[in-house]
Amino acid sequence: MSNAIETRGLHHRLGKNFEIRELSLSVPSGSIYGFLGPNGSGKTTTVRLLLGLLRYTRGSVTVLGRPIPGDAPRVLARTGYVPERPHLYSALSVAEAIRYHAAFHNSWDARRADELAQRFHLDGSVRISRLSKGETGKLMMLLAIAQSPDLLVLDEPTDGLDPVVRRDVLTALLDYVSQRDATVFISSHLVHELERICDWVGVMDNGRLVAEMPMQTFKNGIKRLRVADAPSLVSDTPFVLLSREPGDGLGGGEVWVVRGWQDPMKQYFDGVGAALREVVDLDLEEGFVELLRTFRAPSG
Amino acid sequence: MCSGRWGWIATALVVAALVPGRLLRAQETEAYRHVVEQLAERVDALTAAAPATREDQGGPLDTIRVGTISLLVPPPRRAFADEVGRAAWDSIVSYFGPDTSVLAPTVVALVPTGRRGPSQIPTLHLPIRPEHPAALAIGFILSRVRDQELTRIDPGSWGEWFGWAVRAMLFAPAKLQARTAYSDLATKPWAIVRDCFAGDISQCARVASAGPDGPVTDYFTADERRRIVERVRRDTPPLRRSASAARCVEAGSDSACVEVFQEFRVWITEDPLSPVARATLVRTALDLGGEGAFGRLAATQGEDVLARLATTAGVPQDTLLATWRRRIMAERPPATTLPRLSGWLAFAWAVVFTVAASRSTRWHRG
Amino acid sequence: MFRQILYTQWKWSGLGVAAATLVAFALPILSVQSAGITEPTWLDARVLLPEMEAWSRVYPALALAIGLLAGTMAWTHDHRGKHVYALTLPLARWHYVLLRFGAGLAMLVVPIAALWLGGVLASSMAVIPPGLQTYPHALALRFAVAVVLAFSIFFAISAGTARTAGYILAIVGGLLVTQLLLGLSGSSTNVLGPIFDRMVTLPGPFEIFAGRWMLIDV
Repeated sequence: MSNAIETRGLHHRLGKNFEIRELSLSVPSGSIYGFLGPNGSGKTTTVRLLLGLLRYTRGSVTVLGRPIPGDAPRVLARTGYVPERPHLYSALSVAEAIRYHAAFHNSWDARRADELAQRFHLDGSVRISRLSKGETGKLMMLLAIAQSPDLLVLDEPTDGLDPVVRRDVLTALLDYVSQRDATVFISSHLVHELERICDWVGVMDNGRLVAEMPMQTFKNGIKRLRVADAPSLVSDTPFVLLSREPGDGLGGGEVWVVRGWQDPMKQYFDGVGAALREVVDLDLEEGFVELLRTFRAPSG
Repeated sequence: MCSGRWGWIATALVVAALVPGRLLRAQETEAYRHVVEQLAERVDALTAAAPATREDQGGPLDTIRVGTISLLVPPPRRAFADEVGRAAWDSIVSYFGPDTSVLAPTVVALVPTGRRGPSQIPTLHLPIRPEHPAALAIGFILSRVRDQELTRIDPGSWGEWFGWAVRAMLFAPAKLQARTAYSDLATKPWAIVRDCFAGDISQCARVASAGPDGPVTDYFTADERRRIVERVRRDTPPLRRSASAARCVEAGSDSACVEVFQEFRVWITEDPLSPVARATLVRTALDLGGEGAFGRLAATQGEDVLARLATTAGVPQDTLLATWRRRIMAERPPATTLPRLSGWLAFAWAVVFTVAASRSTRWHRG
Repeated sequence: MFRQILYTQWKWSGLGVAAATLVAFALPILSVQSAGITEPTWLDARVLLPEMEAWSRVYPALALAIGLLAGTMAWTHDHRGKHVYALTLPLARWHYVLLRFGAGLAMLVVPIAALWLGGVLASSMAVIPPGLQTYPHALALRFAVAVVLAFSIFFAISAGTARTAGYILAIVGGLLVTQLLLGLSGSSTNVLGPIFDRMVTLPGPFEIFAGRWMLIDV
């Protein structure tokens, strides 16, 4: 499977105290890739590096098979971008902004733009400076989708939007993706939202890529186990032990958070003289939190 | 980004403040003032520490002699007077030529404010503070020498021809004078001046001899006389009441216009040739005459101004006039039309700045 | 693309350009009227040149002002969005810069034409005495070149990063402070004068502003 976005060993320093280090991510073509991470983890910086808005110091970036920043104009012609903060010219009206954007994109789909404008209830005569946050978000999504891109790069597209607007925006996005074999790279800290739509996930923390895997694997693979009579030393586990803590409540024992769990692995506990009391599924958010906790904990 | 915007706004304001300020500089008065101030700075630098003492207020005066100039000053001002005298003498030699034996002795007194100067001696009162106005002293000395020498010239028609305006302008920088003379010649509406401007040396001879009181029929045409009277009559009550003026303007009677010119000469100050143009002619004669030129000027007699100037210059009248005209024409102001080099250079700079814009780090792919 | 960029630039700075156009048109006419040569009083022509010289100082200032307005307004809205929109458009960056520059130049045609028209009209109104000529075309040409140069300078400064503007400001400010300190210390050393003279004489960038901006001249 080819990758719509690929970075290798990417390095970038932002200010004195933050840097992106050894970032190697791969976004499969046709996937909806959720780029997760807490605030300040480097998601927006990574997005800007992917589009050539920032210059990296080491490594390589390839988007849609072309190098960034060398071939950026060609890449950007096929890429729809919704930034974290509105970037449109506030003095223009909605209709003027649409005309302006269309002029730069040969693949502009005017029919789709009109449909989305109606669907989003955007009044063409209203100035962008007078739009609400939700309307601005919808307009930016309209512009990104109507240019018929092969790749959509969305940086916190629904942040700060009310649930109705979020739903409208995501629905439009999914409609587009279902009609075209486009790749979506969506960066967000709203884990619940990504859980519903993404089929790949990458987790970023403190400038480093912590994990990257299919969403299903991520969700299914992280479990919370209640273990009784657990051995003090744990080794050679068939799964990845992310954390172990004393249990609370009447059950006693320990609580283990593991990754890569599969049912047959229950036999391991028989082998070490422990008893597996319970296997609990974690949702994406819980799994995300556990993953970060593990990543940030001192090694050993 | 905000600081970037304010950065270039501030830059623009600084440039906008500097450029018009320099462009607005009045070149003519600045050039003249600059010459004198340069001399004055030399003097001020030497005497800045001179204390104000009791001797400044009374007691005998010392005499400093430089060339034909004698300066009477209080003893503490000797150094100041010496430098002022030398500076003034340098200027005098530059105007009157190296043969300064023709110059009469000049005596002036430079005393502090509040002290009486010697009787019968022209006196300049200087402030007591250390910042001596050397420029004032030098100017005072030069004006005394100039007036003294120029009054030696036979007053007759010379006195009228020179006039106070020519005297005042004689020491102005040559290029400045010539440039002003050019504008004057170029804009004078009188036919006689226009012909001279166009290169008719005979007309230059006529107009160069014309003094303020010259015969009006010689220098103005009938139409010009009528227009002059019409203009002056508008602003002058006596002329408005004059029957001759009314006949001149309304009936077009040239004889009436001539009457008006003779009767109201004090009101009609129109000169065929302006004082500055006359000053350039005198200066040209002195330059051509070289050593001893001023002596010859002072020694010449008679009513024919041009002949006296030609004698001063040591060349024929036509040569003097042709040289005079040539020097004036050489000071034609820079062309209003855009020189090609300027245009192309400005275009080149525009290209440079545009390329710089496209090469900004914001825009440049690394 | 160019049409849209021109449209946006007109939308942002149209008001300023319109005001500049009015001023540019009126200036030559006002200069002639203030000199009082719309009446055939050619005997007063000798006051005309100083009058014209006084007005001549306004033209380069106007050219600078128009250049500043157009040059900075070309980038104002991109500055607000931190240039993200422009940088993510699918065209080479130098291409975008040239499009912006071209749009600015297109807008400058209006005040330049207005000054030319005003000059032609003023020349037809004036009763020109012998020895003088009117130079409406020369004045307009000089004005046009000066406006374009001023526009390119401020366009370049405005297109730069805050760091670039900071460098420029630091250099200019440093020179001013140096001159000030020299003055306060009693030194007669002139730091700014020679630099300024270099800039306003050939081959300096501001030489065109220092020329003779006369509508009526010898």
